[in-house]
Amino acid sequence: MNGCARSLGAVALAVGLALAATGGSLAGADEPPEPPPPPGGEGGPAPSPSPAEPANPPPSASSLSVFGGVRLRFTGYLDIGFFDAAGDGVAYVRDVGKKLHPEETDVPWVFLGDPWSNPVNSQGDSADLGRDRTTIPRFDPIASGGKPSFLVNMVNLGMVGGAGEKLLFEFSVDFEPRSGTLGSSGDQIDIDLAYLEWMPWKSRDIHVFAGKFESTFGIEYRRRKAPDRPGITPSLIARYTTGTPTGLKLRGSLLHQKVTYNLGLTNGTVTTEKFAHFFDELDTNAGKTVSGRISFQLPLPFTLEVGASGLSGAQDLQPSARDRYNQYGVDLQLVAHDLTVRAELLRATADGGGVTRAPSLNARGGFVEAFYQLWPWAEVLGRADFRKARLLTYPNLYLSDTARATVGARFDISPNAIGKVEYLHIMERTGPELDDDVATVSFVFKF
Amino acid sequence: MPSNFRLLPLAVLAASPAWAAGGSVAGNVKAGADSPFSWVVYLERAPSLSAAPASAPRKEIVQQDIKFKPEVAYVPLGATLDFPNRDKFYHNAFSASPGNQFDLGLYRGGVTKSVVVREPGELDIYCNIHPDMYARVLVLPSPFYAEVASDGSYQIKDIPPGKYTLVAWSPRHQPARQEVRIEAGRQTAASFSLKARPFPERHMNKNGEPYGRYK
Repeated sequence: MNGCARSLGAVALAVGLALAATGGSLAGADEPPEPPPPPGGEGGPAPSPSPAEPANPPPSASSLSVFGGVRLRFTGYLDIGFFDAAGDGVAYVRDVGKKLHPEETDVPWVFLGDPWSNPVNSQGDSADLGRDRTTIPRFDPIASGGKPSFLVNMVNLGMVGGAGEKLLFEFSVDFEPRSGTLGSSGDQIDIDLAYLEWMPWKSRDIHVFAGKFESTFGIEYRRRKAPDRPGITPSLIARYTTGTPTGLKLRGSLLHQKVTYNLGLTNGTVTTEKFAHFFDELDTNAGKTVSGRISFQLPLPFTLEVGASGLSGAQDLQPSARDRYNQYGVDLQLVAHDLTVRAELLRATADGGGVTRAPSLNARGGFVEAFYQLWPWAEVLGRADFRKARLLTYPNLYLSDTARATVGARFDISPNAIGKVEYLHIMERTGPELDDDVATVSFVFKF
Repeated sequence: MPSNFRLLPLAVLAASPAWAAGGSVAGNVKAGADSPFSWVVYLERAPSLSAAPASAPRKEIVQQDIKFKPEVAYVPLGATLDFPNRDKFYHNAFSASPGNQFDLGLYRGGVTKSVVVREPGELDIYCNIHPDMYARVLVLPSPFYAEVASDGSYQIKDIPPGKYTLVAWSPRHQPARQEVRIEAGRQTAASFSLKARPFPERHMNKNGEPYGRYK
């Protein structure tokens, strides 16, 4: 925490500079093609009322018509950050000599804490993944060593296209400039989304997706991207819910969107690629994963949506269809005037083992977060989340029992420009308490 | 709601003494058990609003609590629609309705943007980032219209003699049309029975795509 305290001034300065530098010129930009964060309170800038200005603005010019009626629209954003992680930037520690867990005789290494509990950006990159103490291959995208650093969190480029009114496609590519090691450039390119969307009936809210699409589990995936996320960092359970699986999906609603449903048949789970262990781009076994969510919007004077999700399938990254990965959870979203509250709980299990010694998992976790639109241009937020997990990726056993408290603020400088600041206090509830808090700042420009 | 426009026909008629010798049309509008909220009967292909006052009226449709308020309105041709954003976050207003397409872009709380309606007919207005926001506005083609009373009755007076199309309009029902002949000094009878239609209708965002990342 000392490290973070040291740089809180720098963080504040960075936010101030970002606001000062962008406020004047960008605040006037009012014809953006891409929406800011959606309902009920994540959008929001700027104060001064302006007089009505009679005009006849033309229809949107944000989409192009090319090649015989196929509409194309470019999307994307740039996310630049600055962060400071306390201690050595690592959020877990080895149980040397198994002093705290002598009962774990079947595994060579036992680690306490959660390597991914101290993220610095919206995709959940840890401040530092620590020294590679074992033979498990891994890429440490930040490796800060506890030193404060500027970084380009992400450059995202995408395209949305439509042919007629019933067929759409979208792709989205993430670029992350990172330091290279041992002949590797380090830079990351990830095709985040690539799907066709078919809407068979104009009058019915039914969508069929094929390709690599958004998650079918929970609600956090809706705001996983930096421009959409009210704060900066993902929750502790985002690793289980915000991945983009490949396969087929059906999504629709009934009763004027009071009931929505999602059903997926995919290669694997909706865990995120960065957190590995349970994710296949291409399937390695014959079993497929079935997932789904159903939600209800209750008839109340405010918006209250409750949902339940489930997922079950052959465990990824191993050849057998008999080893299972199962996950279920519940979620809630409440929007009342300027206040938004979201919560989610889940349980995830994976058999593991088999011929490839696949990882095994027994995890539960959840979060509750609240956002309040203070002024048209400023929002404050708080989040409490926890994760308790036993993750065996032989020869490593990670025993995590972590809770976090997060506070932050978001400044919508213009529809295109967003500044965010966040502080995460991380508590290890078993084992040694680590000095691993994170202060992080993000400036997002989107189009 | 649109009471500020009720005097407009009278003003036009006052400037056109020949019309004072016209006829009238009256009748009832029914649509099952529905009450006639914001139902209007008007004449198509009637004398235009060329004699309308120089300063066209304005109608305010407020964006508040993630809704357009009011959600239904009718205005004369050439009116200005004002869209003040009284929420703390961004809103947009756009319409893809033929003849009156517009897109006001995203704008923050406290800002008002406006559009002039230049073609008669119906406008469906949406917000590009909040799919549950909608408004339906009728742009009246002539000064000859009447709001349907709570008992379903209506009357349009002082119509120049001639043959017209009479339209009964409701935001939640299919518009119904009748051909009528207006004779000087006489009242023509015309009644309507309306059939329901969805309001709001399922719609896409301004790019013709489904809303949001809820995919």
